[in-house]
Amino acid sequence: MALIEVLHRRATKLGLLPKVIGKLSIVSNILVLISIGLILCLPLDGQYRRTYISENALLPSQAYSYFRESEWNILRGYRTAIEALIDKPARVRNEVISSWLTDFGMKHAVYDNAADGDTLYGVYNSQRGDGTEAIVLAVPWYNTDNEVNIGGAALGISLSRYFSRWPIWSKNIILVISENPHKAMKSWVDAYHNSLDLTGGSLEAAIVLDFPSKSEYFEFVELYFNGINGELPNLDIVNVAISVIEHEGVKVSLQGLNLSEMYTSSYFNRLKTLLFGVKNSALSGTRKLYGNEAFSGRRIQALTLKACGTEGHDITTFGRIPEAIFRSVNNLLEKFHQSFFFYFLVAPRHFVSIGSYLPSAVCLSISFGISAAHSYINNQYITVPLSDNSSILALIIFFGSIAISFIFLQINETFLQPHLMILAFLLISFLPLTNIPQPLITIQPCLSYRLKSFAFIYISLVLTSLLVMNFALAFGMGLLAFPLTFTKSCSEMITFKSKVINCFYLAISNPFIAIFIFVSIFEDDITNFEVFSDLISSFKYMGNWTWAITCIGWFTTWQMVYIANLDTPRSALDGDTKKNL
Amino acid sequence: MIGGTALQSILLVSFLLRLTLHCHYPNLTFGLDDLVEFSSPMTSYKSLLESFFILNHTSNNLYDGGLIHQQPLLIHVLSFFYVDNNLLLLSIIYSIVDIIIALQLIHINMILFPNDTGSKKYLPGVLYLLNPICLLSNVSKSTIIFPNLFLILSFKFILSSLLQNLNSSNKLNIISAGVSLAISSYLSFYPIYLIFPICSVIYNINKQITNNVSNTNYIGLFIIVTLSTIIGLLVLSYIINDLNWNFIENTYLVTFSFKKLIPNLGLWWYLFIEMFEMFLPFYHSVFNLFVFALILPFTIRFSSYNKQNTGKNINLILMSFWALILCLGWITLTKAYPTVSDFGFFISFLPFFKPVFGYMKYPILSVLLFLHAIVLSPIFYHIWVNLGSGNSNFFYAISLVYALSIACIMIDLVWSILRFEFDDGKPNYNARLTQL
Amino acid sequence: MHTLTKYLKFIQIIGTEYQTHVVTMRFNFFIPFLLLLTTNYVLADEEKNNHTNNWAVLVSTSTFWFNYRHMANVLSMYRTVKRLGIPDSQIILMLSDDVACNSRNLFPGSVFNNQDRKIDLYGESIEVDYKGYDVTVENFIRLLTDRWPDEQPKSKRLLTDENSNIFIYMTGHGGDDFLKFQDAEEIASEDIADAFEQMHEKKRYNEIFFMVDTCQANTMFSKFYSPNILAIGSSELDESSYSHHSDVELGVAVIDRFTYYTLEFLEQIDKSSTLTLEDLFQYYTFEKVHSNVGVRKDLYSRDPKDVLITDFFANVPNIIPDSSSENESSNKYINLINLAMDQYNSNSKVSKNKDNALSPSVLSKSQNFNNIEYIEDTRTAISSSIKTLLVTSVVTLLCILFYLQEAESSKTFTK
Repeated sequence: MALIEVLHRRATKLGLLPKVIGKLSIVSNILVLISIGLILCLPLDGQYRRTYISENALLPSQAYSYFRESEWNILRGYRTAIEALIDKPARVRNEVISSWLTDFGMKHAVYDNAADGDTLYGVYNSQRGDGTEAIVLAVPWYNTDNEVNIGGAALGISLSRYFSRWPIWSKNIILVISENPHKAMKSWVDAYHNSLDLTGGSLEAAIVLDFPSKSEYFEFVELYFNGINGELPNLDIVNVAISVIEHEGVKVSLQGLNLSEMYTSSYFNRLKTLLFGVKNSALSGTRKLYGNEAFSGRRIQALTLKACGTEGHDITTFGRIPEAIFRSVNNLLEKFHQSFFFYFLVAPRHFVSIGSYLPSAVCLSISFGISAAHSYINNQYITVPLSDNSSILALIIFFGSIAISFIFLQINETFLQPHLMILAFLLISFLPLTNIPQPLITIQPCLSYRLKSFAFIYISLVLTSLLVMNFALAFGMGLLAFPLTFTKSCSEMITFKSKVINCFYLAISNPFIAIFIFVSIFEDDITNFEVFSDLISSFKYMGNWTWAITCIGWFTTWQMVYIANLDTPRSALDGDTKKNL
Repeated sequence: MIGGTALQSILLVSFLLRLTLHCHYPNLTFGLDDLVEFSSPMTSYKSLLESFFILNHTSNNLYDGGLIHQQPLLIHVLSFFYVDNNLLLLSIIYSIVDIIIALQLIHINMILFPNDTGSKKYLPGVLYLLNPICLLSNVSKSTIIFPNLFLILSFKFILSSLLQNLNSSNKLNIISAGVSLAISSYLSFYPIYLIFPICSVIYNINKQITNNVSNTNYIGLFIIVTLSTIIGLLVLSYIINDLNWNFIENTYLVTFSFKKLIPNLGLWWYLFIEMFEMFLPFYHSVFNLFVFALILPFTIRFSSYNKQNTGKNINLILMSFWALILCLGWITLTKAYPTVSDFGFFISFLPFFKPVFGYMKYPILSVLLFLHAIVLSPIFYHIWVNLGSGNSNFFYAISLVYALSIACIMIDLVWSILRFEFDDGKPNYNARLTQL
Repeated sequence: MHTLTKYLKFIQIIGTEYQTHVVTMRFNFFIPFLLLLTTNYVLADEEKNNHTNNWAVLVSTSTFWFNYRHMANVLSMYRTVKRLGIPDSQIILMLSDDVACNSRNLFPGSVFNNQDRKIDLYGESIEVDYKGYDVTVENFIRLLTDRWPDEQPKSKRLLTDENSNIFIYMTGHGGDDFLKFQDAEEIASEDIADAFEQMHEKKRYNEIFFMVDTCQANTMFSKFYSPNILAIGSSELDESSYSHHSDVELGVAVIDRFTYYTLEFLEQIDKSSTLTLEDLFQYYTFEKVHSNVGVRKDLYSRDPKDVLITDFFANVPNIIPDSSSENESSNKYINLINLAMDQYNSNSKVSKNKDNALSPSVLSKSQNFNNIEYIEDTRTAISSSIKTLLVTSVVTLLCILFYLQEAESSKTFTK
């Protein structure tokens, strides 16, 4: 305490506080730089840690995997039979596969869903387990690239047959063959928890298999685990999967990066893995859906294993991976460990945990808070009491903006014209350059500052509440929306050039334009304008909140700042302001 | 009827708004009732419905299942309005209660600040009606609203005696206040602690009206009326509850023993999750004492004069009323099963502190703390209970932030009142005092 | 006196028939005197090494399938002590017992401690005294100190006395000065030390051999302070104990290194083995165990070189057979007191009737070379020894009187 006292006195002596308060906007900018710096520091040696299995029970690859040659023949048989089914309608296909499941004694049912596609699933009740928990082996018939998942389906069926002959299961095993990895899978998961009759207890883990090629061989495995709304499966199951894959001598790729980047340890490779992780997590649900996303939000640890390449390891190796993961999960007696849900992988065996990366998003959130304080304190209207009319007006505008955002949220993807929307927002952003709005609305400078202050405190609150749930989205949104704090009210601008810059800031921080620009530069999976319809449909069907948060959090803020920037220039108001003061 | 057409229209609009929300969005009611922020086992709407069912369709005793924690009289009275599963009457009751509370706030404001003119007169009531917390807590059909109603009625009756010069009508006011406080205490127990600050308000009112310091008749009368009414209500409950005392265990004892370990915004539930059994009696007594701990200090400190100040500018009645509100805030902070409804009720009294607003040091901090707490608490609850990626520490941490925000407001108020007293009722905002 | 005891000890070790016979013959006359002189000494010093019964407390403190090896450790120990003759009634087995019938077990109803799966540890009759949630710290302490409510069945109690040698084996997950019990609680080394002290005060043991196989196991006996406890642990502070190998079919490790090599050593032991604890201690090497095995001897009065393995791991009671029926067996007596009592018995046999002489007298020494089963009754032993003392003292008195008389007479003679 004494030290604080000394520091406090010293600070008072030097007049630090008023100085700092005067430079709040700079403080806010510095915080953003710190935030970015913190993220860039994470892949440095010493900042990340080696992964470890925190749950003792998992024991990955301790048991010998027997899915080998003799099973290969069975697998081939199923694959040949499946190849004949490719062109058949789903109903016929499901009937045939059902008969196979009956052959090895798996209870099965078809979940009918005309809109999204039927899903066939089978439940194998463990012989000696208590049957209250289940592990899911999911195989989408068509994978995310719309290829027929032949290898995956054959593997899924032959693995189920193989599993049903082991007496060691303490959890039920559920085989799910859905039409596609997104809507159909998601609707099945929802139905499983609500309406299905044939169930096998609570789902603990889900492995989605994706082996689209007809080849007998594959080269390496791509692992996908980003869930909807920034959710991640427990790090333990990711670790188990990576350890099992590498135990089988196969290489693993994360976030769809290529192998050389995975296995050469350098700062930039780690940084790339990390940033791709953040990006994919922020855009998860919008990008390609691999199947594991469908299990989000229900405490199911889901992974997608995708076999890539056509030579190297044989297909039974790919089957031994889920086998070993299943045996690990089967060993579990309790839920997966807590506090292992927030992480980013920088390499297959290295991760950064929440304590290391959260501060950067906290910095962003605080920097908005400081910007709010800046627009509240650093002008002549600080003496105006909070209960003044301008504050009440600002509140009313705030609620109005939220109402408009809600209307925006209701837009159907079919109505949406992304081209027009982007164009419109560009035009609107540059509207203040002309003199059109001035005669229509007069915004007092005091109201303008209050609006900004409220807007920034609002987005700071939104970011704070998003921090823990969805770090990637909070970070990305905070960063992209940050140019809003650079904007100045008309009264502070004199030259035309500064007005143009102001409008430019408004334009790039508009949620829709910013998302569009970001996606076109950084995301290859999404073709430019599709992102909006993807966002809306994933909001509607996948339970992805990104679109809602963008509209209600970000767009509301943008509207308020935009209105704040429409204020009447000082010159025109000189008389009035003098009177007010 | 007080107020002009503007007020009447606001009352009407807010009444209709509440009624619409009640009748047309029953899912909203249930949704809010599911939130631990709005509903506690003591006040839950669902358990109220359950009790109606038990009452109407079974011959069981209400408290046999250990699910119901509302008082028998409340349940019996309310079940009278719940006919054929029709929510309309009940909704009207809830909506009207809110309007009455708002009217009482306006009444109190008119008594305490007779100089207020125009729309300022109605501000406390209007703020109460517009307060989203109060609105949502009303829509959640939490039964906390009934003790709150009788509590504020009690406040109003006490203060009304200030306006009366005739002794007989004074007595009537005091008797009504006693009865109201008794009903409120019967319904949620904690208001009984407020008997002390209320007595000090009566004392100061009498001193002002009759200039007779030793006149304790009214205080005696008030205490006797309150206690005898409570006893009467308990006996009545006993009779109505099939001559069974088990309602005591299921209502008051559950409060004392923190038995319902459902997470809430309070300070104590977390400590009982994992505790050695032998320590339980100790912590039960400490936490219950804690609720009472600051009631008397607040009462004593703010109801008598600081002798060094000779000025007569300080309205002692106002001071003792502030003490009363501080005690209410303290109960809100430390009670066993708090919800934001309690907080909403507490902050509805903040407008009465307007003479000391200028002294407040960190209102923005308190507001921001509260905003963050109230936004983050459902999120952390979701992460913990639904997603399973967080744990109870997240939620408890945020409930501590919530408690901190209440504590901030209270500390700020206490400081402001002390400054107000120091400045002898004449605000001198420029004087700088070293805070120890 | 001291030399005499040593001499007797020597006899007891080499104890061939002939020599004992000779000794018996030679001592025949002096017995009363000798007894008077040496009994106290012998009782005070040598009685500690006496034990008449063996008990074993075997505890696996962990639960869950992935702790298979701890269950296997304990069951292997159980099998060994049972093989060496400690009956089920004298073995207290504490284990969660959730492995054999676990749904994850590929071999239902069986527990193996080796991947060759030759010995099914669970196959024969297994008597688990405390299982599942009964494996608690409280129960363990109660068991040691024998403080139970009245309704506790005898079969679940450690009914030891001051003549009992107890072997205590614990395994599970441990740390610095503690051992976890089933993920729910832990026992501190101080707790065990205090429990042992209570046992000592209540004369509940003669000697304890405490063996613990966990991580940082040596810390577990660091706090002991009661006498006659010998302790061994698998690893030092900040050292892990490792498992020996996994069974790839079961998918779990089946045994810990320390226990594995302990068993490997004990496999060569049978009831007549003369191997000592020192041999066992020498058997552990860092190469085998992968951690530093620690032994604590300072509380123990004997040298482990002189302590037979069978003192703790086997039930080898010292028995005094009926000398009247088998005269030749009396030659095998090696203990001084046995000798004395035998002498008394054979002396009194002449005057008293046969029934009296048949009364079993047991005050035995650890070594015994015949396998006659005999009922041990300590009370009779004590009463008969008191009788012996009385008789000898009377005889001595008479002798002294006689001597004095003679001295008197010689005095008078000289006069």
